[in-house]
Amino acid sequence: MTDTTTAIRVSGLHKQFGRGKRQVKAVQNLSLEVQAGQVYGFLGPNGAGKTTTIRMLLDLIRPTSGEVTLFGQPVFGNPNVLKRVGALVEGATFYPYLSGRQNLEVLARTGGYYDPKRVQAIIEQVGMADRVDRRTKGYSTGMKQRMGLAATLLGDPDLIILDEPTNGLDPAGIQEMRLFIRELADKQGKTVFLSSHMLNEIEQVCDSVAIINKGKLVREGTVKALLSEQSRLLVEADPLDKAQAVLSPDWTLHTNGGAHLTVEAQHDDIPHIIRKLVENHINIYEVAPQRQSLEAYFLAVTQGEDTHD
Amino acid sequence: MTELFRAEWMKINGNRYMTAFTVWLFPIGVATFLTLALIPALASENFRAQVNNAPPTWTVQTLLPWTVINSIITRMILVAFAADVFAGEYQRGMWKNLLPRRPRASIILMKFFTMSFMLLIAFFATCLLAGLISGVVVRITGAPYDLTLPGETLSDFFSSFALQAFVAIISALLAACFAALGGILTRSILGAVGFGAALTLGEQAVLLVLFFLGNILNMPGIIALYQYTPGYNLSNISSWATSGTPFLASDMTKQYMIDMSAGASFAILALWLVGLIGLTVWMFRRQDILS
Repeated sequence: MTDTTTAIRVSGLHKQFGRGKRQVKAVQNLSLEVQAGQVYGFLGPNGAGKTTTIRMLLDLIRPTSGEVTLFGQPVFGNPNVLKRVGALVEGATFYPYLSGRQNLEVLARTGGYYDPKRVQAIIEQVGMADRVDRRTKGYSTGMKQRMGLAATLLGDPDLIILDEPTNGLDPAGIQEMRLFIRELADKQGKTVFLSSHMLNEIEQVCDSVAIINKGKLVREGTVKALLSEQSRLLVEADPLDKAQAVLSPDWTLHTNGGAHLTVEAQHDDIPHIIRKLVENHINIYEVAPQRQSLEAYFLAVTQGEDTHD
Repeated sequence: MTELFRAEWMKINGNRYMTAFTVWLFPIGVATFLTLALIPALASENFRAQVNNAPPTWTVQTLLPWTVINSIITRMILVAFAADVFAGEYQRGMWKNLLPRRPRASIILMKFFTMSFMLLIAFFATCLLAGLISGVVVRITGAPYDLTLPGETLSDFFSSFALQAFVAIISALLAACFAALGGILTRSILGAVGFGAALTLGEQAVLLVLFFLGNILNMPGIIALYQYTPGYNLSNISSWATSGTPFLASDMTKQYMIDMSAGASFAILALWLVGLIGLTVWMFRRQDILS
């Protein structure tokens, strides 16, 4: 029986390269799940194992152990399931001596789904209509990325894997790509697995996120849940030193020498904090949730040692 | 499969400089060389007299290119061709785009097929052009160049053509297989050329190597291993076809060799080809694609 609601299921994935002293554990006991129709962000610092994981999803690299299923079917030794996948891995590459259109034709014919009308429609969709008949040798990185995106869409895949798709794009191109990715999920019902260093982009586009570091999963969840996990409140009160003394037994506080306190607390704690301050005759001017960015969260979790095995 | 073939053809033939200098070089080279012969045919009385004294026949002229094709230089050129076809995918980082779209084995096998098909077209076109342009040159000199031949001569021609074609194509394919294997192992065009060239040249020198090895180890019988190399078996098939006897590399080796039939040689060559292609596919199927 195939599971169609889960687009990607990775369980206990390990990959090590080399042996003995040269052994590198690129991915260790990685497990995650991506629901169909989601935009799923895959984050991690350089060398965290993101691209190795993506290559294992595409059966380009065989794992040392563990399993990957796409739409309920195992990937390894099952090329048919990959027909439902379009991928842009580690920068777009092409035959430099062929034009963009010829490259797309070669890839579509390799997949057995060449249709000139569809190729033309995709070329227009990615904004390459006026440059597609030039040799790719002369393309800029941004143009290659656009063509790379076109190549992923050729087979009308259900799952689209994009590894750093905005590399080399200008700000307008980045915004365009962001809208395009959202549209793929919202209007066309595609699942998008997006690996990126652009944390702002991930935060705006993704429904769920996984963060990996040193080959291990650090956190996984919806963007909202992850950001509320370590929420902070900004408290402006007078006298501040008295407020600090009242709150410090129950919450972790930070001061920056100004007129506020930063309290590490959940949104639900707000009434308790206010009550404590009022009971102690402290004047309250402001209690506001401080929105944490994904970037700050990412840095906090990847710099710690806390990993989910 | 037709789609995959067209994709491979587009990729290989689209690399114009590479194919021009390694594949289309043969028909273009022969056509250019023979077309240049039109100049003395038109201008030199002496040349015309020579041709009229001993006018070449189309059967001889059409067979002539096989001598060039079946040479070690051609094999080296084809090593370079195969190296680009197989290892080029690594160097251009294209495997990651191709492999999710088709099973690995079918892509590799289609590369072998497309490459062989392209070589066949190039070789046959070379022979055809040699026959046709020679005809024009000979006719300009006023000598006869008759296409009609007695039945026996025609059948001799076809047997000879088939044999020459077989030997040339099999040796070209073997050189290409060595380069393909080198491409998969080294993941670089240069590595594939080096590996393919070393094995192709090494295969030529194997008799000498076995002879010295036999002397050093005091095991002269080791030379019999030569009978299992592609080179020996290609020569053996030629020998059976032309003189009806098995091939003897040299009188010195005679006592250690068995009389190998043409059928056995065909079987050994088939084993070499299937083995090399199979090994390439097997290694590629197990390989991690990191580029």
